[in-house]
Amino acid sequence: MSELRELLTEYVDEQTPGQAPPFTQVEHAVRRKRRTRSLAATAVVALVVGGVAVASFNLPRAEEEPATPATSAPVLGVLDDGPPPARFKYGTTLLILTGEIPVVSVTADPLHSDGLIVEAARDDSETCLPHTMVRILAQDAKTVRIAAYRYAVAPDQPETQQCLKPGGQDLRIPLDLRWQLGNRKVLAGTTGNRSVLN
Amino acid sequence: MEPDGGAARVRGVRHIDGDPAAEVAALYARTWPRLIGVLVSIGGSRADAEEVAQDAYVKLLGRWDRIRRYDDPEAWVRAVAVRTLVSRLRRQQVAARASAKLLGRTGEVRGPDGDALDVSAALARITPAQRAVVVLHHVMDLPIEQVADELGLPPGTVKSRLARARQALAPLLAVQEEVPHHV
Repeated sequence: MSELRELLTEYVDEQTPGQAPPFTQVEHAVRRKRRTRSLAATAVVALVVGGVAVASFNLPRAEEEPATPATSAPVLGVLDDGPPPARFKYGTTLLILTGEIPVVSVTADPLHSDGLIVEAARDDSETCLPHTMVRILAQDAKTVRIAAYRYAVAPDQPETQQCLKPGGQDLRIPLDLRWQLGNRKVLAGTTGNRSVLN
Repeated sequence: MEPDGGAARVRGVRHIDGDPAAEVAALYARTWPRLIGVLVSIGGSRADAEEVAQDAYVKLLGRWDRIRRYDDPEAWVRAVAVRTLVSRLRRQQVAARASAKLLGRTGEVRGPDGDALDVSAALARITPAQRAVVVLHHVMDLPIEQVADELGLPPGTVKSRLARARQALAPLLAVQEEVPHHV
């Protein structure tokens, strides 16, 4: 076994560079990350402030009785994707929403505490184009509601590339919640209370 | 996934002072080369290894206040990098298999024709997860328990991966495999 150890150690030694590149690379990466976070936070704040401004504009005057008790929208709501687009373009090809499809299963992303891996059935057609979309419909501190949607190439679109289906296995689609998953319950589907995680 | 405190083998609390960036820079200069060697040996390209390593040090810098209390921050950064790389390689393997199916190619490495394969080709015959345990245990000299901690696996899984890896590597590298009783 020492022979194996020697061979492996020699190999790893060969792959080991003489010295590290300047640490400034790491510091630059940290700064880039902070800038991205800061931009994202600014966008969220802008959305929240915008939402509050709109809500304030619609608030009844102080002397008036509110018709219904005031409710505050959870801040997390601004991180939702909302309903799926009816159509989108991939390159020059137009894809059209055909409808919602069942979510087969959901697991927490082992690499990202704010990520999910969503499994959904693969399309029967042999298109190479992205034909499935997963959306965050709503999320708050306790639940995340997601849904999967199927798209088809619009009629008369020039799609020349055809793909063989790789084993017919379910699609595994990563979904960034933009917020820690934690112990939140994940519900699948536009309606109903089908819990698929937690 | 990041290792918890156990992965870094917390053995005591360090005296805390000094500039965090300078402390991480010193650790980086000392540990980066070997980490790259380990990551490349586990199967990453040099570019993948450098990217994964950089991400790990970025995370380390962001959490230095907490991690510098560990006795072995190097273990923490290595655990983050190795786990990330193994996950990435797994995903690449799944994609490669799907692609091989599509193209009708097996993509397998040929076995030895009398001569031993070189170490790189032999390592390519085992899974990224097996490469990780072999390199951490045999090259980095980490005990099974620490490998298990760093990879977030039960020690039994590490032992079985190690045994399978050795079984596969020994004939490829034309070395004698001694099966220890405890593994």
